[in-house]
Amino acid sequence: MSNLNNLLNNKPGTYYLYNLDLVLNKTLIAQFHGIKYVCMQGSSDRAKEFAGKLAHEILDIDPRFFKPVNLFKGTRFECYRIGNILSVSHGMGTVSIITLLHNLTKLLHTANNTELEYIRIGTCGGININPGSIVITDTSYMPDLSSGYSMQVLGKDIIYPTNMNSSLNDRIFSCLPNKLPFSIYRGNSIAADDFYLGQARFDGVIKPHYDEKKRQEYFARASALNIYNIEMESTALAAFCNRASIPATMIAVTLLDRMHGDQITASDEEITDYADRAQQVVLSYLKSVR
Amino acid sequence: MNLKNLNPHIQNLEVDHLYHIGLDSSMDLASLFGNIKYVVFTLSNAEAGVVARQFAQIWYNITEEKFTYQPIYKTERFHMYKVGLTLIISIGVGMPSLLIGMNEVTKILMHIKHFDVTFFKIGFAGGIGVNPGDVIISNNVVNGKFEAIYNSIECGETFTYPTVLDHELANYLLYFNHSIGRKNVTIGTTLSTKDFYDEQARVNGALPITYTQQECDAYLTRAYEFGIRAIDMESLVFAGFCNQLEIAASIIGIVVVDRLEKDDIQITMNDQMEYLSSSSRILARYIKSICY
Repeated sequence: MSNLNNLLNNKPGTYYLYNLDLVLNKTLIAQFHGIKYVCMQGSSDRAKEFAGKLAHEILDIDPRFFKPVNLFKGTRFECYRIGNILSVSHGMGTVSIITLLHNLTKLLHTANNTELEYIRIGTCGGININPGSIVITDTSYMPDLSSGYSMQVLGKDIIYPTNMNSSLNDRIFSCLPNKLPFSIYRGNSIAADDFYLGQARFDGVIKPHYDEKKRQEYFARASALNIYNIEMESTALAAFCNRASIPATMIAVTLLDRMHGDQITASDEEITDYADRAQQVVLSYLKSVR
Repeated sequence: MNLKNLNPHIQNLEVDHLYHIGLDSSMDLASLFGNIKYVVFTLSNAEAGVVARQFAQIWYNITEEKFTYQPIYKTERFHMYKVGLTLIISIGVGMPSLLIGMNEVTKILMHIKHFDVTFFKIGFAGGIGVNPGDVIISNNVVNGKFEAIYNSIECGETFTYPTVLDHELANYLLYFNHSIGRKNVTIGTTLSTKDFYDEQARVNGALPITYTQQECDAYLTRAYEFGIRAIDMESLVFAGFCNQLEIAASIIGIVVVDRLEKDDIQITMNDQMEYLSSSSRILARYIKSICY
């Protein structure tokens, strides 16, 4: 059962979801009633593509003849519905995903969905694991290597816990096919607010303050905390879902091994293949729970 | 631009992949972007399209009845348009997303050794003591504690950068606007947060709130007294980035709600886009006036 803002029920003004450009009317509420699973990805293209796969695998709809329709009006995020599953895009970074989470959760709450699970299907950089590996996140860390998500609320710092839901992780893990052509790790993740300096890259436009030695030390400290990957959303997702009592996790695929470089040099085909791996892990789970 | 703070490691890369905008340094970037003097950052793809239309109308005197404008290159994450000497790019929601866009756009400029550039950010903002449709030009950006600094964690270590921008550029824009007469344009400070609800003192988020309406009112009143007129989720990093590289920059916020009155934004998307059009025309005319 979700734990949400009880002011919402008696505030008529909350009926316009600004960031989605949607008015919470009867038609919309009906459209979003009966949802159980929400899968979210950074890019709208990937959310749409995954919706096609869900339609094919779960509803047996041929994606060559039917295209899923975006249910959001604004252009910041997109949303597709397949049965009791939503495939949503959240943009890049903690700020973007938390904006989407608030709006989507208000919408799903108003549409009387009480048993929800949120799964982010992400791409990330790996730490000392092969490109194309999957990481299932236990706990998310800030880039200073402390766990939690820090917010400045009315001028004060508050740190919210960022553990993902371990029983959801267990369920996803238990649904994996026996033989997979790639490795799966269960461990921790870093969410940085900066793709370049925040992730200790040497290829941002601004000159770094650190050198290669410092970076190796940083990655070694991360590895000692059982951190396998770096991305840009998981702290916000975990903190939000902990506060809302919505089980959540992240399944992310590594596009490169950060021990060997900074640039994403994988070809478009390789990236599509890698992204598909993370989607297939989630698809196996969604097929098993039906 | 302060060349000393540009990253020397980029020169060692055989090819620099600008992953999120879909370009790389082996392309003929100079012929594509060599004449850029201005970059305008917007949030959503739709907003970039609206700004591009206004720029095209003012710069080339063309409208969409005769030409269609397509975003250029990879459109999966951001939409880019080029109109005359101006590059217009949408960068998504929030500081992390903007920072990716700013890094990659500035890397284009670095590759073509083109350093005389001015950055603008134009987008919607909550207002404090101002009305929907008002335009706030900002040269001062503060965080949730009203400090004009941006904290950045780099390789695990925290660094602090100032977020006060060039006052002259903001004053020029304001002065120039007198000749066009867009109403209700003023200069004010922008409060920039990493969250739309808790960090902006709203009580209408999805989560149980940890503060009272009275505390929100007191916080927003303090913000007003401090000189804050606009609230957004990007300007802090925009100013911090531009200061590190000494890029001339200014911020144009378009007010969509007065937060001293309410949390909810109730003006229609059409009205918002109309406000965005009239505000981006100030910028387009300003750029045209100094280039001709």
